[in-house]
Amino acid sequence: MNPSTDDPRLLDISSESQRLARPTGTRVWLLLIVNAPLSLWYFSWLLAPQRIGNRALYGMLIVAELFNLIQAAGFWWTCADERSRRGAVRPAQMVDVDVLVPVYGEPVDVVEPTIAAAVRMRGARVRVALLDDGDSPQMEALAARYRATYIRRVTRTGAKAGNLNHALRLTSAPAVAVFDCDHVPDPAFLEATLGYLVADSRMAFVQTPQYYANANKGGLPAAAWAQQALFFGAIARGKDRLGAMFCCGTNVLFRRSALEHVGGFPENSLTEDFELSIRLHALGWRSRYVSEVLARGLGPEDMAAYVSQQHRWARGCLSALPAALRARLPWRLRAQYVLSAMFFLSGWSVLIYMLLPVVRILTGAQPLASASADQFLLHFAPYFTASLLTVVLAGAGMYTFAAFALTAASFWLHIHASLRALLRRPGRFVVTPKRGRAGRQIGAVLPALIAIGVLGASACVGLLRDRSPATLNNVAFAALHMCVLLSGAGPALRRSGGVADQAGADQGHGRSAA
Amino acid sequence: MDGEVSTVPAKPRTTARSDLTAVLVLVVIGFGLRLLVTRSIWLDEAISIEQAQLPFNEMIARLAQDVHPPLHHAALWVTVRLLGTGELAVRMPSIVAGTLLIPALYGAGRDLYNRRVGLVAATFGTVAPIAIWYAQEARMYAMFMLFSLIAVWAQVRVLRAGRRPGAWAVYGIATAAMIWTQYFAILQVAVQQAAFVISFWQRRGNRWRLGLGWAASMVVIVLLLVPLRPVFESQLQSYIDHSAGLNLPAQAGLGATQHQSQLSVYAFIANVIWGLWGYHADTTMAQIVAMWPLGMLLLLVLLGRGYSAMSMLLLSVAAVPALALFGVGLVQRNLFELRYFVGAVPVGLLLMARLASSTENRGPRRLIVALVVVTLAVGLADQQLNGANPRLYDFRGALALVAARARPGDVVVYEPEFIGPVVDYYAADLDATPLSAGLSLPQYGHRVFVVGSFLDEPNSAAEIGNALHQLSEHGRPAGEFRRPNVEVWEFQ
Repeated sequence: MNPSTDDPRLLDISSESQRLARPTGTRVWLLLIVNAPLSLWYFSWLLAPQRIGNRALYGMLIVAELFNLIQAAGFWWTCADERSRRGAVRPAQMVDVDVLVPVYGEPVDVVEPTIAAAVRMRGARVRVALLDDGDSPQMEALAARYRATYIRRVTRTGAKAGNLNHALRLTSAPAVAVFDCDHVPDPAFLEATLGYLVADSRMAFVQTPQYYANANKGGLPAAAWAQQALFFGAIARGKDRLGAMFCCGTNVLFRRSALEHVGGFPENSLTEDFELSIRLHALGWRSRYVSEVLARGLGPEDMAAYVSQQHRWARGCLSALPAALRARLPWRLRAQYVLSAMFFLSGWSVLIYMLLPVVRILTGAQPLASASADQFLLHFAPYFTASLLTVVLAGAGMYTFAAFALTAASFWLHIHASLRALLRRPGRFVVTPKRGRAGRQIGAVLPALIAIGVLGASACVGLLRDRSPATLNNVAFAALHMCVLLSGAGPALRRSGGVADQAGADQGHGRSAA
Repeated sequence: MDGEVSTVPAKPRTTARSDLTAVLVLVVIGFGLRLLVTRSIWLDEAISIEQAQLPFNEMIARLAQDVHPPLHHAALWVTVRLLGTGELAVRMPSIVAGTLLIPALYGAGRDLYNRRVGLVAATFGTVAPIAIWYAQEARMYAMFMLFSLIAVWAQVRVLRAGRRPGAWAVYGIATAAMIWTQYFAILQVAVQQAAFVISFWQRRGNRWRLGLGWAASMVVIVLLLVPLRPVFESQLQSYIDHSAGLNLPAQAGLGATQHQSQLSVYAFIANVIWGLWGYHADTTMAQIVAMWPLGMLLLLVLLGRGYSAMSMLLLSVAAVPALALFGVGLVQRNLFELRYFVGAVPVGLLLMARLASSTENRGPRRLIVALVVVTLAVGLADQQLNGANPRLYDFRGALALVAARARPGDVVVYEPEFIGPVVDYYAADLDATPLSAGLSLPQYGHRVFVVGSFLDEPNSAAEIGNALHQLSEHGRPAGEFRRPNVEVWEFQ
């Protein structure tokens, strides 16, 4: 069986790769000069004591606004100065590399292009190992077809991390590349990354972008990729400059000795890659990021898959927050880890922003006093516009409204994940399904739909009660949130023609990570 | 096979013909809408008409005390001699310029983007309230809009293709014509010149072509502006000496924004809304402006849509003059008015057409375009017909009423004094005098008519109040008539 020729992972994406690697730091730095005084102007106005209206609402607004400011400042700091690496000097001598591809019930046609591409990688003596936790004879046959090593576990603990650790014990090459089973590596992957490990003996890993090739289908994969593009573009380049790039679990090349130094992949985490990075950095290991797309994967194709992925990331990163705070890290690395983890709290600020117009319409209470809408706009609009412009320029135009809306519609995921992390409830490692399901997935966006209903109902109440400018202003805010949420939830409401995933993961075969 | 070969080249011709038909239909509709004038002559128009009736040299000499360049006045001078001073006649230059804006929008949209954008832009231009409003005014603003669009269109053509002598010439002439029409056009010219500098800087090859074309266009512009210099110098001196032109009120009052002594962000938003959806009642404007969060939504929707250098130029041409005048307005309030950056309107319509027609799916695209057209049409109807529009001043109706009731020997007074030219235009036979010249009571048996406007201004309201009090002591009120923004009191 040969890989399908219409597989998006096999298409040419050189223009997208160039776009992702396009430096934007100078523009962001210039905008920072504008952003800083505008933020100061807005917050000095907002934090004036006479602005306090309803104390509870004011407190909530300030928390949300300060949270966003911290996130924005972190974003500006990260992106203002960047390092764009596209390939490295090839090592003088041939190096052995183990390429590990963990599998857990994914379809063979998803895995085959990955294995086929992995065995063709240049620049090293490559030994590909297919790590099958799905116990599948088809996978065994697939490995045999490409002369890859087939590794099967008897005791399946620790989910993906456990699977990788098991393989580490059975392999021996000094460098280890890890690819999720849907990520097709470029033949030049090792040529572009291996040199960093050879050149720097304290280099623990070299990360490359996690590109979603199915973004060309539009819809949810495109929106999910647009979210990724902002991270794997300006943010990752900035983290690289700060020495704070963390491992993202796939499309990454490790130094075996570094992995062994920290005892392998953490098996008690939902985001083993994030926690592994913290441990490595805490022990003085370094990391690098190459901004060239060197592997092409599949993004979530339906809302259930997206929710599953995002919930795992949110839960895992938030659970790792105490570890990041406790670890013996330089302050800038600690700050970077905290900022990355804190992103998954942004759902709370979305909830507050949605709540404010509803409360104002229904009760008349509002957070601000001694401030006309005109004054608010005068101070807020320049700050908002400049911040948005920074995202546009930093993201090289790749960050889209669909991506923003998808994040906003996932607000409840962040809330749910943070509450569970706070209560120390055990999480379940669920593999992100690689194929979209057909039909609507109302359940995956139900909280967003409820929020839309509440906003819509309060807007109607407001319009029926009076049409004063103050009420209309809040109705417009409610309409704004409704449009954003509806757009974000849209992919789940459409009847997609996705192919039902036969993978066990998609049928609820979750695995306990704790 | 022959059939196939013959159909291939026929398609563009068919498309061009259907476009031509569509634009012709739009022009006819647009011309008709512009002919449907509902409002009476406004103060500024009356002054222009008065000036246009003078001998040409005298008119130019009078303009030396004004603040506007003379191109529109010259066109009006010719029109008055050809068509007379009827309401429709004096507005004909604007009606023609406003109608020509429709094919210009089509041409610019098609040329800069594609034919779909061209057709949508022309459709928007056909019903755009503000384009119609100023096409119905015997002032320079419709011409300003037309020249502004042509200047931008020509600039994009030369920047894109480089060696286009015709486009360079059009750019030079349109730019000069803009300045001959409205001095504030200089803001747009500055933006366009900055665009040339940026383009020159970014260009790796063929710089000399751009430089040469630019130099030639500058020669054309300077040569065409030389005759304007004496008028401009006289006007500048007059402005410095007397603050000429600043004594007249703004054309409108939007309670929430226009009459405030300090400029506000709401005033800026109101002007943007006026520019696209026309003038409306104060309460309506306050409601629309309050819905600014939808503007945030628009900004968010634009995320990731990409932007071309051309669109950035258009956006700059639309936004920078408005923002610059907003900045100036913070110091000199009355200089921030839509009229002074109305050249941004056609460019704004073009960008709106681009945005509305950018969706690839035909159904949603048509729906969006239809929705925009409907909102523009609703805005147009409200602007033209709703008496609550603070810019509608029915001097014609009020003075016709006075003219119908007044008899020889009756006294007609008006306040404020600056509405004199309108009173003269509509009721020259009445021999009306301003209240500020004194209220002379008529002989027994005759009546007094008091015509008042701008009553939201304290001075006018006080003058009228005093006069009415004085008249009520000597006679009895015989009636009070209200027309939009004009009132008439009759005493016996």
